[in-house]
Amino acid sequence: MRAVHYLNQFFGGIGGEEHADRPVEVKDGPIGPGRALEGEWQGAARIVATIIAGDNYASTRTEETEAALRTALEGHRPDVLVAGPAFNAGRYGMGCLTACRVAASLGIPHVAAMFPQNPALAMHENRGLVVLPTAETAIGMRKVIPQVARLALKLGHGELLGTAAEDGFLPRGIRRDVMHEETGAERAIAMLKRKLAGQPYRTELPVEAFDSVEPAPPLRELGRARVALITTGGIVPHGNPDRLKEYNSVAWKAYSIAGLDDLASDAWQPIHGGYDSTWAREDPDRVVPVDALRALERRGELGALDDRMYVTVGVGTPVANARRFGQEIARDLRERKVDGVILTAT
Amino acid sequence: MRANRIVAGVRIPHPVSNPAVAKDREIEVRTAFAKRALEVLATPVEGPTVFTVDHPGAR
Amino acid sequence: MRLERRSFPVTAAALGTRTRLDGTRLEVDRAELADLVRTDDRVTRCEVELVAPGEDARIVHVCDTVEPQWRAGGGTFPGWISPIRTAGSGVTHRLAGAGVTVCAELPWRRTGGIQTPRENIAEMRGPLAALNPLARLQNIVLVLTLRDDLPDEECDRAVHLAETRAAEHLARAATEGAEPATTDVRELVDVDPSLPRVAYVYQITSQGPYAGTFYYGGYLDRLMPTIVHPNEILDGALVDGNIAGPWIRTPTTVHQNNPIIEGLYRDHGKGLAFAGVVLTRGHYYGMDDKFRVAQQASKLARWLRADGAILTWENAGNGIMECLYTLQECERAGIKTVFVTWEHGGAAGDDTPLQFYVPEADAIVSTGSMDEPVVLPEVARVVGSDTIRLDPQVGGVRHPARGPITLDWRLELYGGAAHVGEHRYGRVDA
Repeated sequence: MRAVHYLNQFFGGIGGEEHADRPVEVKDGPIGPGRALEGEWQGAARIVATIIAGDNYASTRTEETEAALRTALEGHRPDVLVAGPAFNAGRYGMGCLTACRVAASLGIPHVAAMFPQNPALAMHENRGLVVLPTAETAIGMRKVIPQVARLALKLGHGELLGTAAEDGFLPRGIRRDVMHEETGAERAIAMLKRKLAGQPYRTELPVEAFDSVEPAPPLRELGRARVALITTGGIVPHGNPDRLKEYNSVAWKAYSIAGLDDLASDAWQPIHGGYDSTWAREDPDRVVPVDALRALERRGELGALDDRMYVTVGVGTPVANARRFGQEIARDLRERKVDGVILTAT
Repeated sequence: MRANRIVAGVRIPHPVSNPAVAKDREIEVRTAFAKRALEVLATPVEGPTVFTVDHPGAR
Repeated sequence: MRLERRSFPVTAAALGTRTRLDGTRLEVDRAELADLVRTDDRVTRCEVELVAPGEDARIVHVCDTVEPQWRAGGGTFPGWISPIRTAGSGVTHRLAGAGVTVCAELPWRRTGGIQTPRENIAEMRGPLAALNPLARLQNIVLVLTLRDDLPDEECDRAVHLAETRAAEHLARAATEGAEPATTDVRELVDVDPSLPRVAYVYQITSQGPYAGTFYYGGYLDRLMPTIVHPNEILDGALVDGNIAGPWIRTPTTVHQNNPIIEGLYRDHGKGLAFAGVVLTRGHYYGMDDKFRVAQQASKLARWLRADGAILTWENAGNGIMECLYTLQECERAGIKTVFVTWEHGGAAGDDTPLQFYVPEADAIVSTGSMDEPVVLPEVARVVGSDTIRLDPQVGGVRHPARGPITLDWRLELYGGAAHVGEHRYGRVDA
């Protein structure tokens, strides 16, 4: 079994922080922790190449790093890509997971290793990757190397990945239904008894941390700003002509509010399935305040209310879909030179 | 992903309005929300921040 | 409060000349039952059908299911067919393994909104049967037609009155004067005071017609957390009105057999002391109400001197927040918690599982995902209607109930979320 190993400048034997800007380079054979991996494999596998990148380079110049990794991996075509262990080093973690993403895109199995709270793991693009947990510092190297070696060998041989519990990797944002021996109620009571007795227990669903995005800078002159309305409250033209769904949305639509002083109840209706729509039916402005903003626009308190109102339904909608809607709407907003957005949510 | 500029709404079925106030005054509540939203767009923030609307009908 | 439950198991059902239990075979006088249901003149038609576990069948337009129970001496289903009096003490007969399911095509008068009586589908066979509370029951199905001039609240009441009336009648006719197979006592007897005390924080959802939960016959829309005796739940105090949320509801028969309550009773005195039930409502529309619920519910758990609590919720969306805020307050007060929930996760299982989290929720039991698309196979028999209705937001689209039926996700599958942990489904990190 042939593996390629990704390391940073330190574990790759180049040097410390002063070399963190090193671009990607590829060396033959194993280096540092790679030798320990080969020691575990005892001839069953070998590291044909080690890819080294400086922590700063890998974490800030993602496109170049990805391109270099792709070239190296296409060239070597290993059975598996191993990255790290990165412990709690955030920039190194980012580099490792970039290597994993590139491997995945080429259909090459991968395994990385790092501390569960490594910030690189919270990044949305790093969902779905196979990562073994480590201690916070390199003091955990000796313990994790055999685990990395075992899983790398399994993946490199084309075996199917087990569940996170079976193969020891961190929850990677992919879950599947199973049938247990006991009912949910039985499992709940048993779990509580263990928790009350101070015994170890294992949650069936790890708590998720929602990531953050850099805030956009504030608008400078409201009197010249173009502002658009978005709603996830499902206010659509009467008859729901585009057949937007009441839950679990797959689409958004933009509707014209050009020349409208308000959203009239005979022209617009709520179709959202997750709230009592009585009040919105009487006056859709209660969900999207077109009337109030139009009045402010007339008074010059904003430059312009954009002609387009963007609509979808939020309830039961997968985050991935919502993310896509946001990206698509943002592109439209840019083209229309919209400066700011008011989004009303239900 | 957490929103950075959040204005606390009234209730889910009518986030920016309050049907409990007198009919002819409800527009004032919506106007208060619209103004506040614009102000918040013009306010720098460092991370997710919740703003409230200072109007008696806004709760 | 001491409840003696006399159980009469039912392992088969058939139509017969009179309603009786012959061993474990329930015979149903269908004409008598239909006549009884039609004493409510809001019901213009009542067909009675029997559906057995494992049958190549599908039941559609399901409104609710009740376990047949009869309180010896009167007082069954208080608030429905008996005066309002606290349930949960005395002697109640139950036909264990039977269920009265009421089906009706309720009016779709609006294009969407939460209070829509959505399509509730129950699969009797195949892999999805494991998620269906009816799949293990001998089902006596009432297929109703209601008067078409009834407002929503009357339609809502008519279907639940029909099922409770029918359920009591069957239990009484089949078991009055007979000896039960088993008798169990439910009583919160004093136990070793050193045992950890466990409260059950039981969150229901209630938002008006087709989306409510009834407590002694009244909607719980305005419920602020309160303490109830677990026997009340077992003995018919709660009736499920959540036709609007098929997957994410707790049918009445599940309340009557709540497995958390039964499980805590089983362990009462052996490893723990069942401290009682805090009944709460979720899905309030304002943050203030959510905080009120969390404060009140956690306070009541403390007043029950709980060392630990199991929290379950009902419905979807923002309803999870009341439960998790309550959990957070409990943990802050030193009460150790376990949270039971279904998950989203998207069609491919790689999307965010829950709508909301608190860091204190470190002990979660998962009952599986709603989000996977399903194809319901063609079946030999449909009960309830020849067509199903989907897509209320475009006024409703009909499809043949026989199938095959392709569904985007499992929302329309009756009772599948197993909010109170009644089935063995779960979910793991892959």
